[in-house]
Amino acid sequence: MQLSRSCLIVLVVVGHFLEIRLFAESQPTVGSVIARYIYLQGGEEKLSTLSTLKIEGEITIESQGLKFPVTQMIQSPDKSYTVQDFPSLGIIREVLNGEAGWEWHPITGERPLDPGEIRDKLKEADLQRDLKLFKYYKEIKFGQPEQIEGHETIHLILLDEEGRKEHWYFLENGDLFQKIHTVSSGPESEFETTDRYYDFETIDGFRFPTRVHFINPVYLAEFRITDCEINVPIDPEVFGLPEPILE
Amino acid sequence: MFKKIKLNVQKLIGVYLCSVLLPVSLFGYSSRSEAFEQSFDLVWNTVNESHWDPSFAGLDWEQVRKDYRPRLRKVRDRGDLVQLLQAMLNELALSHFRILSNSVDPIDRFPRGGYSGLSLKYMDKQAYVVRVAPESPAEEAGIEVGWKLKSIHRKSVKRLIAPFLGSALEERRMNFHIELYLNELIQGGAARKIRTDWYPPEGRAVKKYLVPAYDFRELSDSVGMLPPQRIEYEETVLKDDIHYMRFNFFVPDLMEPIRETILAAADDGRGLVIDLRSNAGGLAIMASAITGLLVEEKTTLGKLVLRNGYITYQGYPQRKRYKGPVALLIDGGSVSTSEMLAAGLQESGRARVFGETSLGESLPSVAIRLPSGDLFQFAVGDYFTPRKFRIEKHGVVPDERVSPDPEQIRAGRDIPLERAVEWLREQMGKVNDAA
Repeated sequence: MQLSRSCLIVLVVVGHFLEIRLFAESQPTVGSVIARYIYLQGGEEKLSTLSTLKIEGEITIESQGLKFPVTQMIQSPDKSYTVQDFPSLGIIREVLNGEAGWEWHPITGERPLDPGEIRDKLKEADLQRDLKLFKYYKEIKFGQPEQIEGHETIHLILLDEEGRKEHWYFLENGDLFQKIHTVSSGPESEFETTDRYYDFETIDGFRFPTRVHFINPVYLAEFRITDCEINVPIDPEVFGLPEPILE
Repeated sequence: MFKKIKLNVQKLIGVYLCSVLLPVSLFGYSSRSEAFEQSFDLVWNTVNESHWDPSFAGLDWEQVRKDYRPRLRKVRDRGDLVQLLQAMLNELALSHFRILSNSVDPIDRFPRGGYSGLSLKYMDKQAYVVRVAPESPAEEAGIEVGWKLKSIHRKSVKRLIAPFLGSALEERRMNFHIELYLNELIQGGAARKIRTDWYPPEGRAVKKYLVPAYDFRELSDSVGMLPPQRIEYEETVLKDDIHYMRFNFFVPDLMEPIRETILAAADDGRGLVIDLRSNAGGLAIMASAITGLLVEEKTTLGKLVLRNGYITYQGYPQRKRYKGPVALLIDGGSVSTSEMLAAGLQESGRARVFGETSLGESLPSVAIRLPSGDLFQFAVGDYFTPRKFRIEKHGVVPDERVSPDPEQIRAGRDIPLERAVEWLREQMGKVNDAA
């Protein structure tokens, strides 16, 4: 994995975050689990400065013999741009610009994103979302603790306004390790998926996983960050949308 | 913070889903290894964890494992393993659960294969030539459309098909497999002379020696574990500016010519025929792509129901699209993605479907590599049309059933196509009357 030079320098400077002890409380509350999670990511003050994110990475889907590059740019709170160079198909681009979104696909052509996709993408584009968990979810409570890949975890169940349930599993040190949730993956399509987070690193004072497994009913995809830039300007043109096809 | 990437990866799920009947080959097995046990467990577990119906429609899947796993002891080579795994999967009685020899790899498989350029249609226990590819060995041998096959290597059609006739398969499915078998036989092995005997429409039986060439048809790119396929694409403009296209697989390599044909029809066409007869399926998103070039509003083709969720196949209207009438041809050899497209366009009223009921094998699937080296293709969900009709086992029923007649085939006529063209002309007449 190759991180940008600036990211690596910051990583050294803020390394002391990793020394902080695990949960001191014997009986954590929902609030303390979330507070710890935010603290580990860099803290509330630091997270509130997060405005843009540029990530380059590589997706490997071993079961399908596939590996391809991905670039994503996010401008909080409501803009994102993603491009994937898919083998044998070509470039797939997706843009979210406020309330509207669009996809360009080498096979299916171009299309506006559906409401479900926009709803989910808006959540993703809010880089300070973790500071607003009690706003995004009407209820957060403990679930049954589970052991995952040999780790004891703390399990939270989060219920949003639409009644969609998510399961978040935290390691004892407070890192978010696994998330089970329903995604809108395309037009009027929803299915349950599991994300697992590995190889946490601190970049520019923000701590996050640099390797993620996305497990859906069809395959496991591994995403590795190869480069990232935080709070850098993003050309507004990348968020441009085309003229609508239909009136 | 890192959660931001997730949807962009998950969105690709639709890309992999193929509905294609991959060919099965039994070549190239090596000796037994521990990989056999791992392969068995991977196949059983994959079905156990991913099957959309946890009740397996009443089948005791755990008992199936108990019944089949002990038989691993008798497995001597990979051929035995494929047969054992396939027998276990057959308990599901569903399409798109297959073990595929690793020799579907083009480097390994295709040099063995020949190509005569003949397409046979099986009906009434006979096989007729319905297509002779230009500049093919069959054309050079002088074989013509309409000829009835008498024998291959002096083995009569009756003898060739005898092993199938005693099977428990329903007639439609049996006919499909016989047609596949005869077509494979007639392609032969490259550079290996085949003696064939025929009944032309007029006169006495004739003997023809075919020397199949190495299969020169273009190979598609692989997409994930979907192996390269020998692709065929045909397009022409019929009388009255009716555009016609036929293709045998839904693979990305063919999207550009398909798009060009449809957009050419948008420029000057008054009718469009999409011939999906004997189409073996392919990438499901291509059905969405074709739909988008034909519709004026977002159109649903159907729904894939997973164990935890669903995926809807939609076609989104593109900037340039064809607005005239569409006739779609299917037959008992139309499977998978071709059935999804036919059913979706039929139910939305965008196309009128002619021909024969399709095979009814339409479950979207993916393939993974087994430790044995073979591929395991498995369906990931059940598929329903917008009107909640299940295509699997039922097939798509055409709006107008038009079965080819042996005598008409021998006369060189294509009755389903003729009827589709006639209907398109009727639609033009209505447009003219309205004008």
